[in-house]
Amino acid sequence: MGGGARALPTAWVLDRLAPMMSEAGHRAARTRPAEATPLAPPERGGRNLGQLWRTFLALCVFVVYSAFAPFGYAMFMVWLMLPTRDANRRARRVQGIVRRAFGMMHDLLRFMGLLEFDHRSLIGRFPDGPFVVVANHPTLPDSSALFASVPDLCAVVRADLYKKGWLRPLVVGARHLEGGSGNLLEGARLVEQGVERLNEGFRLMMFPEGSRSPPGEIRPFRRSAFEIACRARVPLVPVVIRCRPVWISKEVPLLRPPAQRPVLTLEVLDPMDPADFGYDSRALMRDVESRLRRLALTDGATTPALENDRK
Amino acid sequence: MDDTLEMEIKQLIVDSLMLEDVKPEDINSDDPLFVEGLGLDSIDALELAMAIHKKFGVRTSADDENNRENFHSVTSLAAFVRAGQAKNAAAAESAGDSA
Repeated sequence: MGGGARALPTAWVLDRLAPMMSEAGHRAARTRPAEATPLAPPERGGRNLGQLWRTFLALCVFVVYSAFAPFGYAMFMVWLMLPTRDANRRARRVQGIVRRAFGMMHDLLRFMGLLEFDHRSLIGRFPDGPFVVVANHPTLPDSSALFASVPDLCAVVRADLYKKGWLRPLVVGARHLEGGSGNLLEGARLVEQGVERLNEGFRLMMFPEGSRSPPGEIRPFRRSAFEIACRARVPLVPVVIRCRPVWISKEVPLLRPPAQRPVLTLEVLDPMDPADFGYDSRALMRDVESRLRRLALTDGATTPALENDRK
Repeated sequence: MDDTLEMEIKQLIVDSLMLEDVKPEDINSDDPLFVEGLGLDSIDALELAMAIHKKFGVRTSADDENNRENFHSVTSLAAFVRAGQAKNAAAAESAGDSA
């Protein structure tokens, strides 16, 4: 996935520079683990030339987006604030624009050698019709990668972001769901709205950990996504996300990129039918959580046990 | 009286949430029900709220700020049910008076 078949200028330079810059990078370029190995902790220590170059590129991307994105978004927002007779039709158009925008962003990140991920590699990997996609969440760009890859996708947006005046027209226009703000019974609203979106033909993306995964770990899963799939009687599609080395996680910020070019991979597992679990969301969650935990914390290894987890 | 209501709530928790390895007498009235203690989650809270409404006629809304407090333990749930039933009885009485 994201195999980098095309020659990309800055990516090409960095791929050749980075291994020379550090011994760790040199080892990583020559060896590949044959067996399932636990995820290594994030790199520590001083910055080398590769990291400084990537930091500069990340800063450039950040400045360019900060300078130009507000203008584009302002026009977009005016359109979203206009009344509409068909909110779902407009939501699909908004989601389409967002999907293309995130696709372009990932193309740019790839071109600049900041993050290796090709969203085109996921075309045809998801089933037709509505489904719930659940994934681990090691880095921020994994959500934009899914947005770039799955059409008609609604997501759960953190309550504080959902309420922000400047973002609200977009999240409401795209018919995203508002995440909980701590009330114990808010799960009811989320489940109800999630089922409603699926019944309207949308797909739903949820990160059952509720927040980004700490490096080398996966937080305990929450049940809402599984309950929604069971109640709506739609397939659940687990996706194993890996980012090696990790970047834009809770611990590794945007402006501290690793020396090696991070590679983001999304491994789409077979869709699961909640009927096979008697529509028991707890059993469905337990199964997915244990498989994602094993698969996400290994570097794409292929032991018989892990192959079984992929089915 | 209080012990009976608490026992009914414990039985309701076990039955409505289909807890396989838990008996009503295993649940300590003051232990937290969610995350720690019994380890219930927000979907369990939703199911429990529906079961309480069905059995005791006491309803709560999803945006009630006191939900976390009311659903903290069996003891707090029993207090919530008693208060809700008293409120319902008073409302029925005033409706009877005005009729």
